[in-house]
Amino acid sequence: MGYNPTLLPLLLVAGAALVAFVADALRVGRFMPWWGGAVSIVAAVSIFMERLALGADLYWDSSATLLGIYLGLAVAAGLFFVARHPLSQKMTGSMVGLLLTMLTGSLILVSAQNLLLLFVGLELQVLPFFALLAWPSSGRAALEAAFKYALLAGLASAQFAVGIALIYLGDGSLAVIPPITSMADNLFGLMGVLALLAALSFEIAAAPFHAWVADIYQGAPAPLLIFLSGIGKVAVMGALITLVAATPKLQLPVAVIAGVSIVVGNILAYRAGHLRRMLGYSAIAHAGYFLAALAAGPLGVVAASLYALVYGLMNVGTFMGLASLPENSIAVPWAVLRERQPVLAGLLSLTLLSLAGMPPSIGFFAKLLVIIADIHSHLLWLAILIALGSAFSFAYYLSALWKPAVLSNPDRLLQRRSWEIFAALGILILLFGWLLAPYGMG
Amino acid sequence: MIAATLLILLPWGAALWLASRKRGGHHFAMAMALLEVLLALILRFAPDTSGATVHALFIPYLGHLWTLHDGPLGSTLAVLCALLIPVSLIFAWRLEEFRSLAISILVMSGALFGIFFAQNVLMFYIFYEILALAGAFLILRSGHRSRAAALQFLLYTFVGSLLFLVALVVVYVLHGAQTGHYDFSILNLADTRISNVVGIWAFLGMVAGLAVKMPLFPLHSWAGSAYGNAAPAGSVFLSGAAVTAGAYGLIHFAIPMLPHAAQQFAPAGIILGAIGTLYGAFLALNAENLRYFAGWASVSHMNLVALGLFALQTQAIHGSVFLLIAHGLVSAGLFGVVSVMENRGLTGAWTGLGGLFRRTPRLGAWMLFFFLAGMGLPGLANFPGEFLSLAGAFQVLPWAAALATLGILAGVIYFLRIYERIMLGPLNSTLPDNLADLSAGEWLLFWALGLLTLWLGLDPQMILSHLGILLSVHSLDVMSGGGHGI
Repeated sequence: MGYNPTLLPLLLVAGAALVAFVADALRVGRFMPWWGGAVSIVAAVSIFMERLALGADLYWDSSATLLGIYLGLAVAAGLFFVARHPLSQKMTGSMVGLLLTMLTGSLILVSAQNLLLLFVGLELQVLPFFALLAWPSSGRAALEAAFKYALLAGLASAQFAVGIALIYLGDGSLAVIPPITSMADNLFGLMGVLALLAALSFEIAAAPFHAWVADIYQGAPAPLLIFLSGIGKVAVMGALITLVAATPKLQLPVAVIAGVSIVVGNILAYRAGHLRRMLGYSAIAHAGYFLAALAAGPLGVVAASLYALVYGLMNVGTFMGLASLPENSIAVPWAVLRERQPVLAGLLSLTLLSLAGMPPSIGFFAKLLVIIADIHSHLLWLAILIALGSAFSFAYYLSALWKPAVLSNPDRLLQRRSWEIFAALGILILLFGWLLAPYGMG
Repeated sequence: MIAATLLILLPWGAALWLASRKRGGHHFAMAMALLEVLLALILRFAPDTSGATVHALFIPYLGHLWTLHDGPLGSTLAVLCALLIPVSLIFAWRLEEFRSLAISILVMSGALFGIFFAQNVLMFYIFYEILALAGAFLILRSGHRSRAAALQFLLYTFVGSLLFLVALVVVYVLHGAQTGHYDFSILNLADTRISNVVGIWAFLGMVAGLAVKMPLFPLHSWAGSAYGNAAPAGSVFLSGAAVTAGAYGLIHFAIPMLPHAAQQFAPAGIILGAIGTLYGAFLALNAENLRYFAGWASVSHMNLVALGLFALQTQAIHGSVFLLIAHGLVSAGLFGVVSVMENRGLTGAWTGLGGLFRRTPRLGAWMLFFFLAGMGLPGLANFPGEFLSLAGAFQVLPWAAALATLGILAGVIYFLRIYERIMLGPLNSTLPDNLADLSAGEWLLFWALGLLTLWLGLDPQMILSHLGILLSVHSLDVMSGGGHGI
């Protein structure tokens, strides 16, 4: 097999990960976030150069390119951000290495057109989190979260493997788009794609596969949740886009899962009463909105890619904001935060509004596109469910915004001047990102 | 149209600047408010601007998200809203929550101006949501600072407006499928061919979003807790200006987009409006304190506005638009009176009031004036609007109009009864001894509001003569073609 240009971004990131693993031994670990971030940016650029390139088993189609570029840039931003966080002071090189491994897996997930490759991507993306979620000095709750995640994600991976086996049993092909038939043309294939759907739904925490999400969001350290929710989930969403776009038969089960997720997620989030848990449960609802887009055919694929992108951006923003708070805070101490880090407080409140779908933030435009896609393919019930769900979601997002919380010791708030720059950038993206739409479509 | 852009963005900039300051800002906010009044007047009365359009922010498939169109109805309502900014700021002047109030009122006014000049329905929707959020912020940060009331307001308006969005997208997708041209501009969407069944459902969705703001019966119940909890100075703007957004949306967007569905819905709309008028009157009659009283009185009048609108008949629509403007002034006067009383430490609960006229004759006189205006006394602002709405509605659905007339009669009863409770009778012994009458500023403000009310009442032609062109061309088509006749 000769040189395959579509592999370049993956090779770049994987190579950088190896370097980062070695760096701790060479005592240059503290430079690694910058190294990792730079390589991620280069990877994003190379994905841009290779857009629409079709490789052996990788295809950077438009949604894969969009999400791939986003993943690269978001990991870079996350690494630059985490570099100033105390959590990354121990074994920095290993942490960066794991995160870059995760990025490799994510890039495979969004671009792979082969089931085994998808499986490899999924494992590469999930396994690093087992270690990352329980990173040293992050407390018992984090350990518990990591253990739960490991157990359940292992189960999901097993299911994914079973799904692949069933599909292979059905038509003897491992391609996502088999040459003659579709994956779900026979009974085994159908069972197989349903198993894949269940496994991937688990990863994005769609109901009824959502049980893990609140505990993880509550226990895991906020800086790593930037990666788990803002990058890992987006990558899985990319894999779902590939899968459902290739298998139109999946649209009905996807629509059902979407509807259930919207209802369950919103109700649970409303009753959560704890900021992190609320975010976790509302992630179920957002998985629902994403799947609702995916259920809507070709236009839905566009809407779903954009929703995944926007969802990732919003989550990166949220957890960057939360990273400066003490880990166990159940509400945001707005007064202190506004005084110490005014721009970051602005970003956090804006992301909450954007998650709720307040115009003119990009969260609104993403939801609007989903609603348009659903109505366009006559899924009116889903559109109404999205509308009601996001109206209802204002209740808990705004409660988080309004709840007066005090921080007993303001010094426990991490204060970093450089984070304000990230926050300003995030505010610009969230508020005016939709202005870029004409360039993206042109 | 630079003036319109400025009109929209200036208050937002001002609000941002106020939010970044720790204290003060009274004079700054006031200066901005007066500037807005000036701008709105220029836009309304300057020659040769009417009909001009500005396009910017083109987004593929959504159209130009910044499409300003200077229509006569929009710019007239803009003048009303601009006038109410300084009015409510003055009433809020001495409150400790002045800054929060000023910020939310400025944000709301920017959103309202956006609504009045928007030609792109999605742009209208975006401003409509911002208006709702700022309104909720106002309820949250003033008066009783009730989170429950703010949340209730928000949920009502957002559930409604998201249903509006779904209905809008249905029309948009149908239009796109028919013409291949996907755009949210009202000029395009109004040309959509829609089957009866889809049309009526879409129109119901739009009514859910727009009527909840008015608030039309049975979507009105947020009004009680909102007006009952927000500071009356904020309610001045909330009840006088913010509610016009719903009515304007119906006239300018919903009815032109779905004319036939609007006709089918009309009887239901008239009946709901009539019930709401009467029901609001009963609620006002049984209100537990002055805030609720003023709030329910406003709800009752706004339902009359809705009744006139849904009659889809020239006379009635003229009347209801006129009443919309008059209600803005009268409601500002009513909540102004409440605000003045609360500033003097009176809670507005009935048990603490009585015989107040002896202590504060000037306040008593102005209260009587605005109460009379609210009753619809001929010669004051509400009368022409109420009369025309009812006269028009009588030709369409007489018994419903008769029901609404009962509501107006009940209005006479509740206004007089409450006035008697507050101002007349023996002096309540619990009233503080050093109760100050109106200060010079308040006195002047009431004069200004009162003179405007009187002017509208004595010379309704000033507005009515322009109403032929105030309504958009599309709505007129509906009424003349197969509507209920002119």
